[in-house]
Amino acid sequence: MSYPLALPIAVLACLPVLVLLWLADTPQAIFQTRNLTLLTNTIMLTGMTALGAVAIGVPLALVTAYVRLPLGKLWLVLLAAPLALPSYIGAFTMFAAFGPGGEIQSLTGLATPAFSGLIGSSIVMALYTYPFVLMTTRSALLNLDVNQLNAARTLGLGVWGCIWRVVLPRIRNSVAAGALLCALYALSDFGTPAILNLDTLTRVIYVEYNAFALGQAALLSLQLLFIVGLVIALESRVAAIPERPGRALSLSPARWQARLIPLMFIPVIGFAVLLPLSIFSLWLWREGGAGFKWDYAFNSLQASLLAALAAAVLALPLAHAALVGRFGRVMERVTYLGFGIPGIVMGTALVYLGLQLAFLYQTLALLVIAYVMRFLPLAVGSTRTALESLEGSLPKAARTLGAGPLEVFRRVSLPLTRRGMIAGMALVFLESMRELPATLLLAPTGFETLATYLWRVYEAGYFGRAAIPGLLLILLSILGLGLMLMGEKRADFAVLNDKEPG
Amino acid sequence: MLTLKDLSVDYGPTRVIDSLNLDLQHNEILTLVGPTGCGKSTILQVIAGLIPIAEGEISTAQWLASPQQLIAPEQRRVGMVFQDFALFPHLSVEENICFRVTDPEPALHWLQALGLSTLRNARPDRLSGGQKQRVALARALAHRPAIMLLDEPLSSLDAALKDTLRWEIRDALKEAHIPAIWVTHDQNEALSVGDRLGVLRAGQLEQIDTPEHCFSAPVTPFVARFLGETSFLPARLEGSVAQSALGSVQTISYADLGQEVLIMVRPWDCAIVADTSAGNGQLESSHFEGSTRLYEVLLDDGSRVKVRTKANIALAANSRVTVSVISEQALLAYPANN
Repeated sequence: MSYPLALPIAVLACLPVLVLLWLADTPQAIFQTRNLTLLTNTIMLTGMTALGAVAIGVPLALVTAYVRLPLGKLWLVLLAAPLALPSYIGAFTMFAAFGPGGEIQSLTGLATPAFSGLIGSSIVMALYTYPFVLMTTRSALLNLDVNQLNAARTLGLGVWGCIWRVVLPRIRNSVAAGALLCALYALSDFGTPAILNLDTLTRVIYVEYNAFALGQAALLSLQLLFIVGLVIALESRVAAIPERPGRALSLSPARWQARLIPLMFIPVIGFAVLLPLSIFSLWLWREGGAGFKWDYAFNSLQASLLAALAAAVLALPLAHAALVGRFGRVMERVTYLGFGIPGIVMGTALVYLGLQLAFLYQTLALLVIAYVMRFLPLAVGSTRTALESLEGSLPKAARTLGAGPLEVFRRVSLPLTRRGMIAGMALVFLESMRELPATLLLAPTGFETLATYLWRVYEAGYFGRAAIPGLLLILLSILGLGLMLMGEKRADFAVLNDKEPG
Repeated sequence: MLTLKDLSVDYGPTRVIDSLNLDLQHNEILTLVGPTGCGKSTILQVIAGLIPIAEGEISTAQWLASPQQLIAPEQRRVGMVFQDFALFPHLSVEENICFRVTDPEPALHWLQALGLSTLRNARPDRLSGGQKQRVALARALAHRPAIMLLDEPLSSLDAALKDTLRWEIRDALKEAHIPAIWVTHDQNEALSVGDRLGVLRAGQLEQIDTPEHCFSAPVTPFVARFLGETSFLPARLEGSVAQSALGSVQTISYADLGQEVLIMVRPWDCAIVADTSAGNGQLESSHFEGSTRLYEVLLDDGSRVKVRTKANIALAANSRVTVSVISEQALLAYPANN
């Protein structure tokens, strides 16, 4: 019965791709030098981000999974925090901190290399995506039975030999799954390459859009979507190796070791979290709230709240349909398209739609539609998990106790799903608050949000004015992180809720 | 109290319950037992009104349900204890038990009677399996059902707990004077806990009677095998005396028989002695089981028989033995095509 409601939503989710296909210029230009440079840059950034994230994430996963540290959970939350921050915050502050004339030089006099281009972008992206690798790897490590290691030790293998020959082969797929998520993130990110001057597809789509070359932008968007599709296809084929249940390895370090180990966390947390915080604080102290209007925050709030409400309402029939039957699951999958479509691509498609449909042109509604299409999967996911708890015997039990269908809904179904639905709404809200590229393309003239204001400040070179929007965005991200962790705690998996060793 | 008349239930195109007739008496606990997939849980679901009736009718003193006359589950006054307990995770133990109770006094009696007083404010996810089971039972009892349905209530608990809880549940039901249908796949549970026992096979009742009678006089080899260790030996019938590998034995039967029959031999119906010179079979295996010993013997006509003896009688492996019938009662005979 939820199918008729879910079907139009699923069809709408395909719309951006159809619009782009229709809009795109004929692809005569694919093999031109410029296009090849773009593709190379995009793929290099993607690959280097994935490699960097593995280099940071896997050692951290090994330590946080197997070594019992004082304040272990606090470290874990701090190490997961970069994922919650939008990477353009990092790119912006690193860009401003390093290089000739950067904040570090003007404060200390130390000359630091400029932070830009492929290397700079890759470092920033890796710093903000490695938690994907950390989480997938860590949960694989915790599932690994300690007796496999014990067996290897009794067969004469040393600790490093164990990690190399026993542990790594078992967690390979989980590392790969995390790395592919990083790659996906790097592919669709607009802010970082745009701020650090690396010509990737996302950055040039924006350039083409500003030059009113929508056909070119659409063509580039399709190329980007194709690569995204490849990565998603690859990701769906990587499954974690199933492990037999057992106890995970747990090492208790000596006291001096326990004090030294967190030192290896400090550079990561320092660059990804503390640096942006201190740069924004510095600017706030130096320039105060110059140029900032609270209207920007209210605009962000308004658009994001509308998106969250709309997503929650639309998610209900989709989540229900996904539980009812096979076709429902297909429809649910289709709405996941939006999550794979980079914001800049979604923006391009909807800008064109706005040009065709006069009643949507330059309206808040179009921006809200873009948010909903991109972030609907977040709401569908948590609503579906909530509805799943109603499968099985609970409503039946309530019926046999004498409750009618309405009472069952009011006293059992609703209380059990409400939290999940609110959590989904909150996730959509927070993602919308931070969204940059689609907002840049779709916000009505004069409708400045926190994210777009940050971008204008960067473009105009008045970096100091970024202080308040920057700090507000970080604050919001921290809220989002807290919410995600709470959700995971309930869902009984990942970061906070693993069986504590011992 | 409860009557099922020619009741049939379909899952999609397959008929899982076929023309079932059943009567539940006042104050009676009826256990339904059968292998997985025989439809025993389905019977409870259809009585509770959770799945539709395909044909036939279900009636109590208060209501009658049929394919044409739908009665909602909440109007049936049927209590159900689910296999997974189905406790509401967002409510405390007390709130679960008093879910729709207007007068909490009798409800709280069950809280006490089942030893849950200290847990009244706990959430279900903090409870052990046995505690969840007690809460589920207390909740169903507190709503004063006319009939109680128990769907494998002990299957997710460990063995030691099963034994004590079995009697706790039975006592509570008897104390509340509530008739119950108790579904299980455990034959010990079925034999010990019910006033009557129904054996189900592929959606049909194979036999329904007192547990004692079902055990001592099973109407088919299926019932016999399901309720206890049994061997069936081919034999040739002459009058009421059958000639088998164990010699001639006195038989009785509940069916019309041809000449070829199977006779049912329980492990304690026979004696076994070593007989190196002749004998009527060869010892195949011997299992020490504490107070007794169970032997399996390959008889000379190719059939196998199990014999239980005292533990202190030990026979050498693979030796020739003589098995003889020592039962004072006539053995049951069944048509050979079973």
